This record gives sequence, structure tokens and C-alpha cells, in this order.
Amino acid sequence: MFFSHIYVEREAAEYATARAILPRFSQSVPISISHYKDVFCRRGQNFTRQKRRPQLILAVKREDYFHRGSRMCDGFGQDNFIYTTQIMNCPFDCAYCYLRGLYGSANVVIFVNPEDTLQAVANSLPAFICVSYDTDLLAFEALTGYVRRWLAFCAARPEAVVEIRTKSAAFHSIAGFDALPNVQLAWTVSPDSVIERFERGTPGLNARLADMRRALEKGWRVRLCVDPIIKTRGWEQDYRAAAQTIRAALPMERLLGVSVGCFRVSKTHYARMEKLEPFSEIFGYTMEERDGTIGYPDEAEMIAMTRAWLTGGAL
Amino acid sequence: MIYFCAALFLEARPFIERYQLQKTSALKNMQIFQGPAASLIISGAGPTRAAAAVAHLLTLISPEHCPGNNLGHLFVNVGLAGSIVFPQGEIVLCHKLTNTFTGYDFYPEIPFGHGFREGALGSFGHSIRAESLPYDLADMEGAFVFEAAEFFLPLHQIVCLKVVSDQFAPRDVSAETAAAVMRRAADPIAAWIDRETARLDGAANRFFFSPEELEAMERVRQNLFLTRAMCLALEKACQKAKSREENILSVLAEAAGSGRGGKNASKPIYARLMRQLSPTQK
Repeated sequence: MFFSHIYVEREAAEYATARAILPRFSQSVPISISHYKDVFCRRGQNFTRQKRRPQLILAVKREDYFHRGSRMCDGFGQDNFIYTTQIMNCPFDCAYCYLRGLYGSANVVIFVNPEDTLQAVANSLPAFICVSYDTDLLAFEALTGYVRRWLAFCAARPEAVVEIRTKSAAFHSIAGFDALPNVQLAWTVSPDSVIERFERGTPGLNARLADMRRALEKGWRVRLCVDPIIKTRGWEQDYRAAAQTIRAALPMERLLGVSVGCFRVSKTHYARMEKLEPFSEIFGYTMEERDGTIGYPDEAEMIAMTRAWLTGGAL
Repeated sequence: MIYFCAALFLEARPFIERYQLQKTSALKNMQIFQGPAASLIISGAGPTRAAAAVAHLLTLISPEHCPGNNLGHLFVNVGLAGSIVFPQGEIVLCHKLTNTFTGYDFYPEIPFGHGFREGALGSFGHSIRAESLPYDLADMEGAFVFEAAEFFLPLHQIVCLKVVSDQFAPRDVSAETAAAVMRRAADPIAAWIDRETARLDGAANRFFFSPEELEAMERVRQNLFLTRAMCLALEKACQKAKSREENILSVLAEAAGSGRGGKNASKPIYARLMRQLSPTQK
């Protein structure tokens, strides 16, 4: 991970997290700023261009420590489903990522006061908390240590259930911690053909499955997410083969759950994403709108087929 | 197209010579020079002149109407600045620009591998003489030029390059010395600009459709009497089909070949073509 420039809010520079991060990028040019939005929300930014060489912004989170879960996300039946944003953007570059439609900038913002978020969440328990939605928290663990903070938080508060979703192969960074019953580790997986074409910078399928296996062996509750399914030419063969690989690599009966979903985003985000990469195959298929969400017209069949392949059932 | 904006003629002169620019028009206190690859305006100092010059240049020679693609343009504010951080003659790429009137800060996108020193620039509306300032550099137009250029071009196509002429005491430097400093800096600046514009052009000119596909689309347009809206819909459908790795050339050729029977006869052919390119289930 390299950032040629690091924008540091004057207030953020005083925090321990910032003081720990900055020396690790001694080659980077530090630039003092008043507020992260002065950089992150500039007009005229090009997300795809920035994504090739993102910069880092260190900021203080002053409000909105958590949000109510989106109806587009699976809350797994939990009443108080919330998510937190301690980091904005992600080290990976997935062509279908909704962050491309959500943010105008691909620069990474790390909020250096995670303790304030933890305190705000502590006041809202019991809750199901997704902590890795607008980023990949585990992929940043070596830099921030935020997952470890959530583990300590959960160890002391059984009424908090935390989901840490990742595409990384960075389980080693928390492998020294004991498994917690109220922490769910969720890996999003895709066929290698999708990873190579649309998930730039992410580990391959086998590396993710190896991490999942290690986590299961250590007693962690692990969820498998084949979400989103990306339609490409011959997607059926790719996902069927990936399902076979998954079933061979994992003891499926020991998984906490398997969630399957198709590529879908809000109408506004879809339009922005398509504008960024109009020639991508991601946007080459017929989509339809349902209640403000854009998705494949045949997503129910796609999900059913993928589920059947994952369970080994014939369709 | 490279767009230059400089406050003074002595700052502009090396670039006028290097890019062989010819004077094309003059407003009062604002001269414009043009060549095939570059345009340059001399704004004069101060916020109002800077903003007016940028708006005038980028409206007169609009990036959208220049040959090629809007992505390939670069706007460069080049000129002298005072500094007590950098020595005389140093070329500095500004990574932060402050409008000292409003207090607003502007953050340009930093081009990768530019090779210059970097610093924060404060832009003032008048000449200043100071022992110290909270900026690495001070000038009389950089932030104002940037603020105006932002209205016309994406961030990554606007850069501010300053050459240090004095230590916050501009009146201590003669015009001859300032011109010499600028002349020495012009070569490395121009060399970098040429590399950067070539890179931007390269990125802009990766066309998605092959010449044969564009020609086939044009034949369809003519033979089927397509309206502008129909052409746009056809292009989008072709784009999606090609992204799915489908062979659009044969479908287009078939439609173009069967559509010479007048407007009414071509309507069903167009409808069939669009169905072929945009199947509901794929």
C-alpha cells in the first residue's frame, strides 16, 4: 500500500492513530487541510483515474458515527441493523463496486477517532453492526488495527453482533485472537475469471478460501457471500466451477450461512458508475429498475442456480 | 491542446517561442497567442484579471471544440513566485493553493512522477514584502486562476507551476533577472508538459469502436434515415453489445444492406436491429 500524498486534517494530526500511520509513509508528501471534504468532495474529480493511484486522507469523524442498514443489504433478520464507516473507500478496485457511484473520489479516508464510533455504537446496543461496508476493514488491518478494536469491543459486549466483510486474505492479522461468538467474518468470493477482470488488486479465490478455512479451524463464525454475481458471457460455467471449488475447499455445513445475490445498485449510483466505465461488460447486459434499484431481470433464476451449485444440487 | 495562463509577458515569452505561438487577438491588458498545439493568455496580475483571462481563453478556444477528445487537454498556470523555502530558480508544483481574500484552499490533483519540488501557494491581490508567510510560495494569481479553470476542466487537467524569483520581495528583482530565471526554467517545464499531454492524449484516444465499426454505423445511419436520437440509441446499443464481446459488424452490415427503401420501410429494419443488439435476456 503506497500513497504519494497524505492529506491530514489539522485536528486529526493530534490523534494517536494518525501519529501511528504517518511515520509508515515517510516517503509520502504530507499536506495539511482544514476538513477532509475540501479534498474528498472537490468537483471535477475522476474516480477511475484516482483509483489507479489513490491518496490517503486522515480525518476526524465528527457526526454520523453509524447509519441504519440499507434495504439493499441483507440484515439477516436483525431488528437493529446498523453499519459504521470508519474508513471510506477500499484498497481494492472492483469495477462493480457501488462506492464508484456513491463517492466522487477514490481517495481513501481513514477516520482517526474510532473510539468515538465505538462509544456511539455502545449506546445503541443491542445491534447487528456491519463495520466493513464502505471499505474493506480487514484489508486495512495492518495499517489501522480497527478490527482488533472491534474484537475487544465485542468481547466486552455480548449484545453486540458484528459482521466483518472482506475480500482480503488478511486473516493472519487477527489470527492471534480467540474466536468470539458475536463476531461474524464474511468473505465475498467470486470465480477467478471475475476476480481477474473486475476485482483488481484482490486475492484470488483460493487465497480467500484458504483464509476462510483457517478461520473456521480456529472456531470463528464464518459466512460465505457469493454476492454480487456478475453476469458475463458464460457466467454459468464460471460460477458452477467456482461453486465446485468452494465445496471442495470448505466444510459447508460449518458455515454460519451462505448469502447469494446478484449485482444491483440504486438507479443514481448505476448511472454514475456507467458513466465512469461505459465500455465495461458490467453494464453491457439488460437491466431493469425495481423500486429505484437497478438489477438483472433474471436475478431470481441466477440466484437459484448459484445456490443449487453451491449446495451440490442439480438444477 | 495545452492552455497556458501567465500574468506577465516575461513569464510567457519562453513558451510563446517554444510552441511558436502567434498573437491572435488583444483585449486591453490581455493578449492571446495561439499555435496548433497550444494557446496562451497573458492575464495581468490580481484576482479579477486572472479569472477574466481564464474564462476568456477557455471560452474562446473551448476544450470541447478542440480536435480530439476533451480528456487530452492540459491547463497550465505558469509564472514567477516568491519563496523563502525554495531557492531562486526552483520549479515548484503547487499541491495546495490558497485564495488569501476568501481563505479558501484548493487542492489540485498531483500528476504522478512529475519530478518537481512541491509546495503550498498563497495568492494575494497585491505585491507583498514579508519576512515570513504561512505558505511555501506567494504570488498574485495562482489560486485565482485555478479557481476559474475548475469551471471548465476536470481537476487532473489543471496544474500550477511556479518558478521562484525572489524571497517575498519582488521589487528587489530586476526584470532582466526575472526573465532569465523564467527562461532557464522553461525547458524542463515544457519537457514535462509535452510528456504529460502525450500521456493524456494516449488515454483519450483509446477508441472503443474500430474504424470499420464506425463506418458500418454511419452506413446504417444513412441507409435507414436515422434521426439524431436514433443514432445515439444505436451507438449505445452497439457499445453494450460490443462490451459483451458480440460481433456487431455483421449485424450492422446486414441492417445497412437491407435499408434502402425509404424512411417508412427502414423503421422495421431499425427496430429489428435494435432487438438484435439489445436482447432482453442475455
